[in-house]
Amino acid sequence: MQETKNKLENKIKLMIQKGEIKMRPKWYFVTIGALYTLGFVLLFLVSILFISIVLFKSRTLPPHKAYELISNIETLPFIILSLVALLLVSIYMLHSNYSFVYKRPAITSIFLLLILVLSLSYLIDIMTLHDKVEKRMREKPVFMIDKMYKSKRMSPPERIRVMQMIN
Amino acid sequence: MLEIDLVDKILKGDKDAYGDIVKMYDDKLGRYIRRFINNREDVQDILQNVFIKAYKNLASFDKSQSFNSWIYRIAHNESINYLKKHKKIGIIIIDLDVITPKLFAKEESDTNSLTDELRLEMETHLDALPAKYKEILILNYFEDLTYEEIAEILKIPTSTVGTRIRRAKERLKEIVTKSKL
Repeated sequence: MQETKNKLENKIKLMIQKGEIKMRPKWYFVTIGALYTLGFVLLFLVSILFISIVLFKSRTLPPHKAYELISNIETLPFIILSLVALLLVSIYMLHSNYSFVYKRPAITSIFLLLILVLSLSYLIDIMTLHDKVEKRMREKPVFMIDKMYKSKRMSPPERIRVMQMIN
Repeated sequence: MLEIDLVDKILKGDKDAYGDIVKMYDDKLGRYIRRFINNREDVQDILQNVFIKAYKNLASFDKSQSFNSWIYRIAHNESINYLKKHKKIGIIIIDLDVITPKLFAKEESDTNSLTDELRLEMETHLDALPAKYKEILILNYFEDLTYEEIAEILKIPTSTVGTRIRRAKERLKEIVTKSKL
């Protein structure tokens, strides 16, 4: 037993002396940490952007109440919402190794994150930031971004279907 | 000399001081890994990998935390990776214990002390338990680690540790009862 113990100790020491195993420098971990934080910030901002677009789209739909309700359901961008859910999970996973995340129940962290994303998105929506961008996109379209702000127009068959649903 | 002083020495360039860390943790970690893995040669390989990984990542060790938990975490990960690689355990994607642990779980679970007889009985039936229950019983009853240390090693909330230990013991009781029938 003692022999095996010494064997391992000597083997590891020899590997270190020969340079077969090298200690990673501090900057390596600082860079990894910075990349993690950058990824977190990016995902967080994209989630807020997506949710605020959903809020903006819902607000700018046609004014008729019953029509608005149905069209909201019909046009609610579920893909965006699913993407946001995925982003939130990614943010959680990204930080689940840090004690401030794993020390509390996962549901608390995810709930806090969701509240934060929703409140900031709501704040952006009431600041009418997307309205300003939409106006700008109409005047000066920017590739891809202008498409996000195009109002959804219903095709005649779609309109007939919705009217039938209302009646 | 304390581990933290040794870590300081190594980080300042005294590479030989790492031998003392190996000496200090060799038995402890070897015993811990052996509880998961039966193959003696594999245990030695994993133990070696643990010390190699710990050395490589020593600069990332946060001195405000426990070195014991940190190195146990590496040993735990290496053991679990080995078991996953050899398909001895499945991959858990969603763990309800972590999502919603009971708030007062710590108070619910009882004392750590085990009689030798109970310890032996527990050891005999440990392999019949799912990995997440087995690992927590090993850490608590055989490695004598605190709830906080276990939480650090498994990266779970402290309250989950209590809940999981209680459930593990319930499950173990069922297994023991069945085996006696």
